Amino acid sequence: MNGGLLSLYRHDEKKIDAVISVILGLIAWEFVDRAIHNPLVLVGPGQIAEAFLSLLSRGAIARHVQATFVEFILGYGVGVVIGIGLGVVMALNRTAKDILSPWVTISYNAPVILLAPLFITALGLGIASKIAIVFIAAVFPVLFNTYTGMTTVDARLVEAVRAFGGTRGQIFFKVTVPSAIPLVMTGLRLSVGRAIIGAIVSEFFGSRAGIGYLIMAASEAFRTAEAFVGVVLLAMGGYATFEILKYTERKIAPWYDYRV
Amino acid sequence: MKAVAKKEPLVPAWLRSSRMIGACSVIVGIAIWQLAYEGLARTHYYEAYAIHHFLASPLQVIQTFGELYRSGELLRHSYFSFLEFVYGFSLAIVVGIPIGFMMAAQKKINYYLDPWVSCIYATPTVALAPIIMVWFGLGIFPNSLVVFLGAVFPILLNTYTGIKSVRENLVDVVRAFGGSPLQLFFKVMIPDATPAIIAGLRLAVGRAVISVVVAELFGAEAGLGFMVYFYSQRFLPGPVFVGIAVLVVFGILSFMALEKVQGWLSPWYTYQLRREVHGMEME
Amino acid sequence: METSAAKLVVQNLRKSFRSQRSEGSIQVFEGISFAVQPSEFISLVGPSGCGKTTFLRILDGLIPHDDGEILLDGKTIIKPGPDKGFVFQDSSLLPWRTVMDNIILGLELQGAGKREARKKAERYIALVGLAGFEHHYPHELSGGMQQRVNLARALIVDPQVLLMDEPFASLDAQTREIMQAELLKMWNQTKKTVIFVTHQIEEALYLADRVVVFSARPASIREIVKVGIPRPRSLSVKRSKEFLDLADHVWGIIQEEVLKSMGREREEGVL
Repeated sequence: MNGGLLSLYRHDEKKIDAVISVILGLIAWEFVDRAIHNPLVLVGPGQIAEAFLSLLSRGAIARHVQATFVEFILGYGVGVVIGIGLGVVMALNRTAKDILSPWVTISYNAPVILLAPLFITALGLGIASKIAIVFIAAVFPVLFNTYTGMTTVDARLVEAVRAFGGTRGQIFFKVTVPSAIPLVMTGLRLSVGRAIIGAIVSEFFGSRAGIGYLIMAASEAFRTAEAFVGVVLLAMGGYATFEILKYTERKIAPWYDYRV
Repeated sequence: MKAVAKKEPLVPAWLRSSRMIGACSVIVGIAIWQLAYEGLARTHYYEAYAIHHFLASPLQVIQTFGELYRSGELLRHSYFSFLEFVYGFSLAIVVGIPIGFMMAAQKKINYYLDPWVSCIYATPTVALAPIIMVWFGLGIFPNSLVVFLGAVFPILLNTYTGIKSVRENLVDVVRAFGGSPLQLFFKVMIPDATPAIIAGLRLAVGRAVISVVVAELFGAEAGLGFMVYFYSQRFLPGPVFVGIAVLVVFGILSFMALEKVQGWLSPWYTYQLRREVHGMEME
Repeated sequence: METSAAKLVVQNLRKSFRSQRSEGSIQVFEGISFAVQPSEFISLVGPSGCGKTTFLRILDGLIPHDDGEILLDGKTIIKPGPDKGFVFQDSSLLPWRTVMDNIILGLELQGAGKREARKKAERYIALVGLAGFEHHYPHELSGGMQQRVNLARALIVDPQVLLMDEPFASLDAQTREIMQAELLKMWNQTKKTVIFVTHQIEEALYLADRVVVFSARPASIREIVKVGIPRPRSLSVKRSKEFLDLADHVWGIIQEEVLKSMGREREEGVL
């Protein structure tokens, strides 16, 4: 019996340790919270769970999550499509690359998030301004990585396909595209973080709904527990998106060595 | 074989170089922006959509830059943002590198810290900014804290990866010649992990810059983020573009500085396979 | 076996690894015993996967063994150290150190001052024919030159025995031959005891006084072949009848072992 448990522990040591760590951490957090007992300074997991349930029952969670989700999906989706499209164009056409590259370099390194107030002035407090910000935050990492992926193809592979009489089209679809996929996926992952920040920060500025709005409004009213509910929702959303992308990556490019 | 008459190219070679086309692209782009803005100003849309509330022409941006510079406002705001960046970033280095190292060296520490680290890493830490304002009020300290939160995780994780991917055969060499664990650490682990750690620092610069401005957007009396917010609320778009331009320059300068540090600390690396950081050094 | 005067003695060495697939363990060595005389050059060959490299790493003390004894000058080997010089396979030079600083690594680890270490290194740099390249980084060198550094790094600590793990495996055929000839020259000058692991039968025979042939896993010694060809040996020795006969003989043993291990793997369902 004991030996069985021990071997189970050895087998899944990492997962079991993670669970222990999270449980211990939450207990410690709750304990410190009750000792200090000042909801302005610290809120414990219990209070956050309470705030979550109360927001859930009022339908507030659904409303805020939906608002941010729509902003994210639309802005990110358009960003991915355009980013990949322009990346491919730049990889295939030198003139296009020369013309666009200074603009891409600047925008890639700029904190585009600062444009949020201007977008809100221009497009209003509604969803359009947020979609625009999310788009502009997401598009450049995708573009940059698509371009890099398509231009750093192993020349020996291209040569091998040419040696067997491959046409330009065949080289493109049989070598360039597959070897670019891992980097494109890296771009997609990098963009997720930026896109979420874009959505949240633009909601901070002025909005009527969304997780950013929830965090901001709750903080201003000193309802810290509710603000934390927003943060936890973001963490879960970010984590889920990340995992989905990782899964997709391994599905469409299973040959790639992901250890790096 | 057919003899083909060699055609004179329409544009001489030096004009077709990438750099030349890029420079032209920037100049032409800015000119189009200026002309479009002036054209737009003559139409009724300009007033109807209050375009001057959110868009400025390049000339206006330059003019605004001059005004902000002369009044000393720009320097003051840049100074505050810079301070917050330096405080937060230094703290992130001091905390991130040792923890990353401990996680790589001790399996147990890794197992216990990993769920927390991955969880917070997945969270956009700027979302914590309003809560930090509630806790610590306005000022340089809470803003630096937001910067710290944004920068520490890329540094920590890259240190972890860097130490983890230290080449086994190099470790063996030092062991085979009877090196002590301390010698192993200083003579192999640190040099071999340095490029990955520096890649982490570069990643962290971008995040730190965003954290600075987001923290200042609502929790500050000074700083570039504050400046942008202040003027955008008064429907003056000029300072927004000036703020962005200053931060772009700052970001590029820090990148170049880190590149220098890289070349200085590990000159051998430039020629090595970029195995650890492939795809990671972007953002 | 005459063990009293021997430089290095391996007695009944056993080693098994824990299997990753099942709960059991895989036996790697099954009672290996042999003795090496001072200044003797031993080559070690065997079918791939039989554990030649593992054996060498055990001799150095880099990995522990389960049972049996290894004696160097009558003392048990328990850990790596400067009494043994290890020449690794390719790319084991520290990329952030110049040729000079790579060579003095072993001395430095033993606590020698950098200045005197560098002074001492000059002799070895000359010995391996790298004069003029002291301040180059490894990536600036060809594969053959990198292995010269590797060799000098092991020689400079003045080891009692030199352990060489397929040091020429990644070199092209011509460079390999040159390096073989130069190694023999250096060996003649330094008179070190050498254990040289290789998968090339011809290389093993050309270099060695005796060639130890390992069986397939679990490895034991199949045969120890004495190479009676007189020294100094020129490269043309490799085409002599005596040499070719020996090569044929060793080749036959190894082929037999390979077939045996393939049959076993098929039974175990590995193939």
